[in-house]
Amino acid sequence: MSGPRSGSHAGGAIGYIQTVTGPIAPETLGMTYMHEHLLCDQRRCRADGLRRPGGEDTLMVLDDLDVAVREMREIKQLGAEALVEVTMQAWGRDVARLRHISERSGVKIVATSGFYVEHCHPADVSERTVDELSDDLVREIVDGVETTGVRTGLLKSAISRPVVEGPEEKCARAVARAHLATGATITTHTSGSSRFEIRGGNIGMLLLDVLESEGVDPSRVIIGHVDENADIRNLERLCRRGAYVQFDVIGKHHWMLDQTRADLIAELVRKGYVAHLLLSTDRARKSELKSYGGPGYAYLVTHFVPMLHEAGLSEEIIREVTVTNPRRALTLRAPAGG
Amino acid sequence: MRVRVPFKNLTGPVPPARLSDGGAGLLIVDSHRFTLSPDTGYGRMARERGIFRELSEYYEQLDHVLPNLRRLLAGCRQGGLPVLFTRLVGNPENPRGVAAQAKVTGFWAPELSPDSNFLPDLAPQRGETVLDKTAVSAFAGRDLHDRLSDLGVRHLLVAGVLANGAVELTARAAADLGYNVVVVADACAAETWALHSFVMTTVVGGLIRVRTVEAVLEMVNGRRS
Repeated sequence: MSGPRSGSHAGGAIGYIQTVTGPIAPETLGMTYMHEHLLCDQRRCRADGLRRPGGEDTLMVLDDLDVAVREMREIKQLGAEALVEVTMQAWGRDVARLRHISERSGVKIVATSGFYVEHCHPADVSERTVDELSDDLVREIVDGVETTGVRTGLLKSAISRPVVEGPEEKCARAVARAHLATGATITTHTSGSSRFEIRGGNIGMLLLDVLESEGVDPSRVIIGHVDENADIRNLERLCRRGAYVQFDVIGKHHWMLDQTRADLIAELVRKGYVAHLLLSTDRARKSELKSYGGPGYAYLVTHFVPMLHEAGLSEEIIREVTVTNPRRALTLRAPAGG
Repeated sequence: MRVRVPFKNLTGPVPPARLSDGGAGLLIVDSHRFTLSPDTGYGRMARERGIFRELSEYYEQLDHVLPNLRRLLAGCRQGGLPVLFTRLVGNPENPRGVAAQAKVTGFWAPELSPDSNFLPDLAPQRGETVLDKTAVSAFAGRDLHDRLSDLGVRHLLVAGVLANGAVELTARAAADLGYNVVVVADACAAETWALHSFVMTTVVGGLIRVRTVEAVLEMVNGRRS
């Protein structure tokens, strides 16, 4: 599917949002989940610790197309219009099936190019140069993934340690260069591996340094997983640098209570950072889906949005966070100076 | 939370501790303003980070634990047990006055600061021992072991905070040193209810048992072993 282009930029549909069914005008996007999985298979990754034999129900595995369609239809009925799918190619991204889910459910889906954490990198990362890795990402955004004709609309960089180094840094630089070539925003996984290894629990600041050193404007970067361990002072610093801060593990109380998330979001809004906020639930395990007895993607609308209301946020503010900010974040733009 | 502890099936039973026969002492771990008052210490740190609500289960437990601690303290004093207190207090002026790990966590109060003070109704009385520490285990130095030996303590009652930190580590260290240990479950608070339950389930074994305040006071009075 050929999308509109503008100028001499090498990117895809500049000024548009690139979904798996083609480019759309940003104003048609609607309420958007910014960091989700519909189809993924962590079993394809190398083990990153002690993995219990037969304990695959704890792994991130989603493999049922009908379940995905059903859960997407539900969020559509609840008023959501779009979803960003952040599974990477090395652990089960399937853009053709994502297009199928989108067509059957009516939910617009943006697919992603880039890299998850090191143990889920493609096997050949170590052998290839940063520019070679970047070229592949650019190709997926401009020409589409392999022979599917489906283009991705977002880039992803992931860091699993308290430092940005080695293959993960290499991939971060490849993502940065692909951003400069395409104008696709960069979303990030910034767990920093485990609790408290980074003060405030998020490595976004350090990753932002690396991306910035490649020429990326921080306002084109989404720092994800900020609600795994949060310190509002660090969130403010990220906002002041221009980045989005994404509360995207909503409903996962082992990281943080949702009431705390609502407190933090309300405080960031009060401090003037509403334009930096994005939301999602990061569903990736069957146990997290409604179809298997979990809270489902719907939880964001049915449970968390009411908490934001209780925290004092108006309908208008919530719309800005769930509609306006995703629209701005997902629109392909010529990078600064590009 | 249901936790399986299969190794408990491999060991001999925890031996009885006859607290009324003498040799018992009470150790109240890290229970002072820094850890107990929501307006300072942990509570202040959480507020600065905008996440005070994350500590709600801890302070909720303290609502139950503080009256129990007072009752335990009063009962042990009445029974003539020596009482010892530890505090998370260090001297920042002394290069070795704060444990390396505490410098990372920030879980300590400076000497003479308001946060170092005890709550009035949980404060030591004349003659009772206060040991300042910034390590997690109360046995990280030799002071506590020496003091307990001087007092002739063989059975150690342990209560205070954090159940899933200093209380557990201190109980395990005490058992390693040969003390008969009683962790007083309802006079301890953990980060969460689930962690409290986890610790009280898993810490039992060898020389460590877990009892309630009521049961401990009955043990002190010789009404049960």
